[in-house]
Amino acid sequence: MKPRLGIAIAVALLLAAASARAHDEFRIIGTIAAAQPAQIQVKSREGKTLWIKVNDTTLVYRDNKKVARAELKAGRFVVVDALGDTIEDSLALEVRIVPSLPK
Amino acid sequence: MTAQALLVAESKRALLKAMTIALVVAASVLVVAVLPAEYGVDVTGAGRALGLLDLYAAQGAVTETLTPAPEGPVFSRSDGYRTDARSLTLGAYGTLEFKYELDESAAMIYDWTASDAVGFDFHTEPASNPDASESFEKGEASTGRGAYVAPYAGIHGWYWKNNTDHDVTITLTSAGFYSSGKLFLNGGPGEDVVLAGTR
Repeated sequence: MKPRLGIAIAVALLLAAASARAHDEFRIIGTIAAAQPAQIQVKSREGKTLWIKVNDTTLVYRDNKKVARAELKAGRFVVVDALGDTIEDSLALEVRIVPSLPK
Repeated sequence: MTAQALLVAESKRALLKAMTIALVVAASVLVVAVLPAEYGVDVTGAGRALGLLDLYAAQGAVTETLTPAPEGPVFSRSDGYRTDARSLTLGAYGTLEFKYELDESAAMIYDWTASDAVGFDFHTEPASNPDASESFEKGEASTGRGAYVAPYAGIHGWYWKNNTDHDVTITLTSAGFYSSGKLFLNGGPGEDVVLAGTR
């Protein structure tokens, strides 16, 4: 076997193994502390501050209706369902803008 | 005819009469009892009335032995199954996971009902590689019922999420060959729970 072919097969196997690794689903409930085009910072009810990625596939709802991603503004209370290897490196699948909950 | 000849003739008649009676009785016993009980032949209906046909039917059941095929529908086990029943409360927008520890090929049946529609995801964490989680059923519903046979050893169960601003109660009942149960609240570490019973 040529070395290049061997390396290509090894890389392909590594990529396949990485893609087979399952992601975890996380739910983060809290207030948006900062909003940027590709991520939002949420201060959770537990007091943790997290950056969560958002993109064109992220669905944003308010009053059970789909709204623009631009509605994700600082100060809004949100329920985020995100997917990732860790909660610190997760992508928001769905963000619901809801009335603030009592602690 | 001499007196001795008369005695012999009388004796023959008595013998013939006794043989005839014995034959009739034997034939009756054969038809009424032996044929229904031994061969399932019930000409007179007396076999059914006397319950003798049940004796015939039971013969096959007692003597025949079947061993489940390895890939067949019967999963024989030497250990007893366990039962579980619990009520779980999900706070507003809260999540929880509840999983049972099952060996490979161990089966369970389950039934859960929620007081409001919840998001659910029936998934696994294989013992050999907990990161290689697999989802088998996902959606939103207020009830779920079914049977499950674990494809490999590990913990197997539900992730539920409450998409409402009020509490939702989930009532779960199950029976199966699981050894323990684990509860994970709001993404936290799992804690062992006490299962309801063992059979």
